[in-house]
Amino acid sequence: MSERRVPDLRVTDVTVEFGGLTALQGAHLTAEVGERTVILGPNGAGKTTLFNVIGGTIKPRSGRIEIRGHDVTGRSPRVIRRHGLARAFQTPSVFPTLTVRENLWLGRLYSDPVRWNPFASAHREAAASEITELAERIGLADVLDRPADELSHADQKVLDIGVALAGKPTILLLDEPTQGVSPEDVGRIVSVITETMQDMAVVVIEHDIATVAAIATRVIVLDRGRVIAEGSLAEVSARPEVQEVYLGGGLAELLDEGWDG
Amino acid sequence: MPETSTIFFLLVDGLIWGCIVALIALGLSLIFGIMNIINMAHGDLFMLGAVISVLVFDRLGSIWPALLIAPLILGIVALPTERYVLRPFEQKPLNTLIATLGLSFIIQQLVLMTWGGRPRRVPAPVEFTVDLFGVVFPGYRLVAGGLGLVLLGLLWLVVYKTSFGVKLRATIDQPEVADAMGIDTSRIRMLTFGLGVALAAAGGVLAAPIRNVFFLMGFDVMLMSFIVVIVGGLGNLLGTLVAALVLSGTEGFLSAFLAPVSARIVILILMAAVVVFRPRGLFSS
Amino acid sequence: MTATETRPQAATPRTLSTGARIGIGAAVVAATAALGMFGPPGIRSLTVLVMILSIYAVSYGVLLGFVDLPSLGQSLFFGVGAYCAILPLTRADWSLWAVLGTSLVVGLALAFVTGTVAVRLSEAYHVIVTALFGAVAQLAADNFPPIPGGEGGLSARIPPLRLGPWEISVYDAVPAFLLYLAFAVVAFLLMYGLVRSPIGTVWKAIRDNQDRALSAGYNVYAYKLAAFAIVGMFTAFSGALYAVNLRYTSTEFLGIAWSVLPFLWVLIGGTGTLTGPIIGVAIYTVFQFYVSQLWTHYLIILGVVMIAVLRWAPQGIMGIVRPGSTRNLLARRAAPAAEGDSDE
Repeated sequence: MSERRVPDLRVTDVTVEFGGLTALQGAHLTAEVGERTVILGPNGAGKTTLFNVIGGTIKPRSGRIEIRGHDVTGRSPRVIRRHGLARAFQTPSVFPTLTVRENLWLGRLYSDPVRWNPFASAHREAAASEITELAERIGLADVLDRPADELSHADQKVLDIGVALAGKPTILLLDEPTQGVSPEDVGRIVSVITETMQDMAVVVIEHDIATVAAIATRVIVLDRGRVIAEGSLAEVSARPEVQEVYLGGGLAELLDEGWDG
Repeated sequence: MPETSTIFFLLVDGLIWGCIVALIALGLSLIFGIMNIINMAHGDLFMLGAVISVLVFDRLGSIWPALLIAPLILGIVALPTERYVLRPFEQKPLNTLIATLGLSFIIQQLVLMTWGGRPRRVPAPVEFTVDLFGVVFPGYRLVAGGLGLVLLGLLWLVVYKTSFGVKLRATIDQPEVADAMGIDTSRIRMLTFGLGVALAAAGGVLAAPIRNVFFLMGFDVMLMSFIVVIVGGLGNLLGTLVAALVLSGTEGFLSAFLAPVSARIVILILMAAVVVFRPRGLFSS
Repeated sequence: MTATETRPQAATPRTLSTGARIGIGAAVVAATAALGMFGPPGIRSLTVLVMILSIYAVSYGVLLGFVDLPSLGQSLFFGVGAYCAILPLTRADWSLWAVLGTSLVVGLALAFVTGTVAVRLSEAYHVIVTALFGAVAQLAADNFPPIPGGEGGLSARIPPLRLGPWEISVYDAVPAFLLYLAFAVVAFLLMYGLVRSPIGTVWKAIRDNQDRALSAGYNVYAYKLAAFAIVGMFTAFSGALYAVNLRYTSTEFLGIAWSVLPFLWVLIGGTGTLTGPIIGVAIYTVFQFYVSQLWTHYLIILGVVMIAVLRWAPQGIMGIVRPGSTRNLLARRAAPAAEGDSDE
């Protein structure tokens, strides 16, 4: 689909340096609503750094991040959220003392004028059916009123995604959504991704090959801070550069991780 | 408009006092840098140093031995205190602040109970004056400043030229890495705490002939030291030193034109400005 | 889904229903009112102190326990509030409503201004800088001629409070008691409502995971600033009532001791609840009243208590009575860096 429209997310030529080490060099990426782009690469390739730059946690040395044509390079996470980009984290980042319902509600609330009303009851607002529906769609309906720190790891990962989803973002970044999750729950997360995110541009960092195959519409491979291949999973895994990177011990690792989940 | 000689005197006096403040502030900064403890009792260690020097003076007729005795005693007492009393509180700034504040109350009241509340003065151990550019300085002040600089120089040697210093700096910068490298960070913390305490005590000894010695004398120095570490950066040793000299000197200079409290308020405003524009301290990287 | 079976069945501390809360609250208020109306004068004045200071305590509890701003300079607002109450009464013919209202406005404004600087700072820096503001305020007040009375303090005759056709004089023990009780209840309800509102939920989110709150689009700085300003307002009001009760103000109210006390009250009672601070201030006030009469050096006991509570019972009384209800924030943090920036 090459419509002549501005891409929803465009990352151009991003370079990031940390005290002498180049974490990213000339990284680029585009993402469109309806696509699910998976970023692959060995550990230390710069995948999370790329997310940190896009999400506004780090300022790049050079390069541009554009959301629907607006330059958001180096802006704070808060501003980037307002442009419609939400993010879920590798280690689940939720609000531990708040209930699942309150967590999800906070994901949605930020753009809602009711949050400035000191006379509104948070309890009542959070009880909105929208929240309950979202929880049902992601499989957290029966823990809605439990504090987030009581949830299992998989549930917390799903909640992290849910908080990002709740605000109806246009672009969603997921950092290793199945990491540390048992094999049974991987399927659950995969269906959350494929079933609830059709009207978003999703960019996922992932290691598990089976998951990648299940969700990716496009794949980008990073190695040592550079993009070395992009295309469909089939195209990319046929490329010699990619095989070399993974054959250098990386592929075996990757397969192992795939089996362990 | 005050006379130039007055301005000069107050400026130099401020710089001299800055050397002493630097000793206390560096101790504070070291202790925070190494173990995340905001030591509210630090000013009281300064006070104890001064009190000990009065006691030594009463017994031995001179305060010079106190320069060795006070830091030694307090430094040694500090070691088990860190290990057994403070260790559980480390890494939690607010906890340690309140805990050390409790310690401060205890120390102050004990001194009040045993020594009394009446301020004491110790006569200066040297009685000469120095004429600098037509302005007369009490000799002891210059000696105190000089000794302060000597101690700072010794500190610099320890921190930058000894293996202990290397381990100390590594532990401040990257505690997990230092630990992984096999450095006994627990021992380093304990020793550094002792070092910080000793510095404060030494400052107190030097200050005894200059200030009234009484159980609350630590408050003013603490106030200044906190301002200094904020401006210099918590854990940033060079920054703290420079900030101590600059701020003290500035305060001295300003006190030629303003009331001492007003000078202090100006310093506070300067600190607020640093906090707004360079939150990590004026000299942070 | 299979996930349901793998979920741990942990026990959440059951919170009280709204009906139960209202019931208990009403009972407490009624009992206190009865205490003031029929109890001995000594107990009555002690209770007045506790009620007035509980406004301070609860507001600090919000700041520390719900927004996680560890401030040690609230005495600035407390003392300023006290002066707002007394100073106009010595110079001009203000009504009691006017001076109380002034304390609210001045408290809010002053807290807002200092907050713009203080709220940006990370934990250690925030503590130190707020403490410095408080300490220097006292220093300035002691030494500047425009502040009359200085350390010696300033006294004033308090006019009666006009409420429609009625007048309540603070010199009448029982009506005054009920007046203070009314103020305390209203203040508590306002803060309670605030904490239960969406604003309060965002505050809790910021306390729990500031970075995530930022990522989710919230202006964390604005929320913290709002909290700091509102709490400063309540603190100033508490100071004003405190001065009215004593018919007196002094620069002592600006001192660091009055900044440490609220921390103690909240620590003893339990961080993260609104009722904990009230328990804390009650216990402390009673303790201080009786022990200080026995031993001038009671501060030593205070020091020991502080260390002991921090060491062995940082969850506070509420945390002991209902485990899990207090947030042991003081233990949570293990951040190694002394960073200055906490925002963007």
